[in-house]
Amino acid sequence: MLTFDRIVPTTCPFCGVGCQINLHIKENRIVQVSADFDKRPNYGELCVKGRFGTDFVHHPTRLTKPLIRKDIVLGQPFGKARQAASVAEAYREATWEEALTLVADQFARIAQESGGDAIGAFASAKLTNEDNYLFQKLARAVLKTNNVDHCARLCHAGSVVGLMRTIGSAAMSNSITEMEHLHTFLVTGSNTTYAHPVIALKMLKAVDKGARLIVVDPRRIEMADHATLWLQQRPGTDVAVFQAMAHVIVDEGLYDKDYVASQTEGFEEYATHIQRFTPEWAEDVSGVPAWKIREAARMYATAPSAAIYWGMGISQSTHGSDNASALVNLAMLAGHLGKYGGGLNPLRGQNNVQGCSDMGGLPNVYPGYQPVSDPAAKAKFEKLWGTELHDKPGLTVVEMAHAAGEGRIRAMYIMGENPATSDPNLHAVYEHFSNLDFMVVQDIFPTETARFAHVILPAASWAEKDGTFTNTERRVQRIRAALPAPGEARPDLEILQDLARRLEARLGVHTTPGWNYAGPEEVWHEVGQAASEFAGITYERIEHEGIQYPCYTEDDPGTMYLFEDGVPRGKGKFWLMDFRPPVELPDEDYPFNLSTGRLLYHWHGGALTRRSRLNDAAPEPVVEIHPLDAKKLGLVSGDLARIRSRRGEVVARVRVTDRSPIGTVFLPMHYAEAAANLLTLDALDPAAKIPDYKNTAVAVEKAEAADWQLVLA
Amino acid sequence: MNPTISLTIDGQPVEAPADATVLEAAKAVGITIPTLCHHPNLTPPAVCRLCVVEWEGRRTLQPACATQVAADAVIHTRSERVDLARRTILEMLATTVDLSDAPELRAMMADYDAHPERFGEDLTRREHDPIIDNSFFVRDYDKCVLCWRCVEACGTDMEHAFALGFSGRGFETSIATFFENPMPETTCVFCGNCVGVCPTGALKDRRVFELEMALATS
Repeated sequence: MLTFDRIVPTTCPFCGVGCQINLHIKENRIVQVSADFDKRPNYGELCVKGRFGTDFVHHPTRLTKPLIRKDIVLGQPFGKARQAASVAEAYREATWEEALTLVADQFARIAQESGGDAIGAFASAKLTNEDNYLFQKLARAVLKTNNVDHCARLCHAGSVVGLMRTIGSAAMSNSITEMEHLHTFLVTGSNTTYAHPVIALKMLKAVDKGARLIVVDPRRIEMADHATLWLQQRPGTDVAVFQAMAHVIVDEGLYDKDYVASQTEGFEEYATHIQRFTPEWAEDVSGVPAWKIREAARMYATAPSAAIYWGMGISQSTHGSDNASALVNLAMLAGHLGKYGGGLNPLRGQNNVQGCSDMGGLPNVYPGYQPVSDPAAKAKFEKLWGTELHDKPGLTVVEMAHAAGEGRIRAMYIMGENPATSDPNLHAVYEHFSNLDFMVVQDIFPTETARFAHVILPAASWAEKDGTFTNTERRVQRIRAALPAPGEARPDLEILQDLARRLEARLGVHTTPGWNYAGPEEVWHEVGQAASEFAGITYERIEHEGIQYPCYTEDDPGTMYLFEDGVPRGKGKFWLMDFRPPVELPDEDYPFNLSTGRLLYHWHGGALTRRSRLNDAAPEPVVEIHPLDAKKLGLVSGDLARIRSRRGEVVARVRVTDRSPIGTVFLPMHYAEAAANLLTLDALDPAAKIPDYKNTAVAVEKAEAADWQLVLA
Repeated sequence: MNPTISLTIDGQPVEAPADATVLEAAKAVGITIPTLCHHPNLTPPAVCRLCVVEWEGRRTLQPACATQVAADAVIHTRSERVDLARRTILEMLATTVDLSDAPELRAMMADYDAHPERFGEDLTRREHDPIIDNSFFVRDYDKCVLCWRCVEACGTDMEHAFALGFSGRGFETSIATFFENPMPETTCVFCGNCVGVCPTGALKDRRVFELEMALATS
């Protein structure tokens, strides 16, 4: 029997469920992962990624030394960013001293020449709250720019805007603990069994106990097989279905009259507005039978309490904020806010995307969502940080890339993000990055993005540092150093402070309390001062189990579900919207709709899971095609297919399956060799600036083995 | 409010919720009843019978994990009859199954003075080659005591994947996939929740399995 050197409790680094895991360490390797059966939120349950996928930390391609591009000679001007084919050929190893001096010199030079707003900073939903807090503080207080954003822009920006403008809070309102006891719930645009596997298990338990499940999704995802009602709408017609459901609820008088009267505003106008969105109209638009829409509306509205869960299918759309607001309208009509087993629940993707947003990793807000444009908030942070700040909101992720292309952004600091696979329309992104005068990437692997950089800084992985992650249900949980970092890799917190000290010296900026935090706990203490909803959470209190914010004082148990005393906006606002079709619809040249998404075995850009044994379970890109479409195209499972859009093309293996609806093909986002985002378009939601990853017009044709080789090479 | 009832366990008066199991009621007053197939997060399958207790007035021994308490019951958790039953179960397991990865069971054998050798040498053991058919976990059914936890974790108690069931009858019974297909050809999603609940090391992270092999041969 194997004995372990130590067993370290921590939080899973993959998705937003935030499962509590134990790393079993032998000779400084993770050899096994277990979970405690009595610990929230997962109670001992894990998915394949958490239990078997953490071996990426030992992958031989881990960055172990600072790297500087070989063609850079100190003191002389050097070329723009460009993607290197190989790290070994294009970079040389450097000391930390040399690398940080170069980075500080260049950032300081560009900030002095063109102002702080010529620098763009990408925070990271994979890193800790403390890392992200210091990162945005560095950008705002030292570099003097609000150009801080992260991948939440590409995932839940639609939800955030859709929720903020109607109820004033964007976090998941209810808890994972409640899921087993649901009465009725609606899941839409979320392939929960793949993207949040452990949450899906809790939902299935509720279904076993008799809960009624309404799935609204164009793909026959696994949850649809467990559903009481499955509404299979045409891709991009979500708003039509939800508006028609609202129509039924109002028309049949099923709405919660007390809640609507006391907690909301704009109902009269809204009720008039949705009169024309009949279920019959929605059937024409969405293909969902009118009777099903009626049934779903009745089921949802008449339940004593009913929850709505959604994922990327709702948010990642050029009308993502409308989709989310349409769901808010439903919840307000039915009065399902502020109660157990109800609420509006955007399922957050990354392990700490909630935390990164909370910590102010966004261009328009300080930590705790205090707007940079609000003079009171600005004054508060100027006092806390002891330096002048500026009130102009910064640029978002996709806007920063565009600004780089136009030369308005000259330098980028990217910490633990991989926009060169995750941004839409990659060919354009590559061009934009290639216009940068200076680019620094801080990561654990030489990602597609890192290979554009002038300087690559090697960071410690999640298993090699301390800190906190905030999961999708607002639970702040500890991560712990279980291993030494490989080579000279350093925790992000140390790198940031080292760099900040150098930048302050060069720019003549002084912030309080300086950049000499003893560790993440001290940073977390400052977070509590910056945003009161975290003030009650201390490392000591979350030693064994995390606490759900808001938590204002040390005797506050935290908040299981929000809005019990009304929504933060005061009164919920019914949002009026019209149905808008997707920007790019299939046509004669590009007859199919492409939807992108996730697999169970991989994670986002694949930087981690492609370097883990998880890759054995899903080693190559597979495109899912409906049997009738496959027949027309002369394709069978196992064939290769070329998928072309107006922006690019990829080759993937074919799987014929009715999981995809007729006319829609599905391509996972995890494979750099068939990067789905070479195809997607960078049209943005006007309010949320989120791109549409679910609707791209493509052509599909049979490909040959030679094409496959070409792609791999 | 759940009504409370009174009963006696090992001569001690006990107050317990009316819907508690004997196991829970005993645990609440600090009496430990040994278990094997029982797991707090799973439906008790009550197949191992290690937790049996003597209930005065009931003919057979009762599995504590799956028996509800009743008012005025008089229960003995360490009577001679109970000890004999547990000892025999442990001895029979030890004669057929490799318990080298089950330290708790081995400790129990000492506790109950179990002597599997009394059944004689040369007994047929349940022997299987380890099944290594995926990158994530190994199934080594030499070590399987058929406790059923993995089947439940794969079913409605946790994963809803339903990849595991059993094959064979009687002594030949084994946990298995449909038609004993390799794991990647089943509905398995490799969550490893079965590995997490396995009490005897029959299911094991492949990395741990390989390390043990390497250490054993070096």
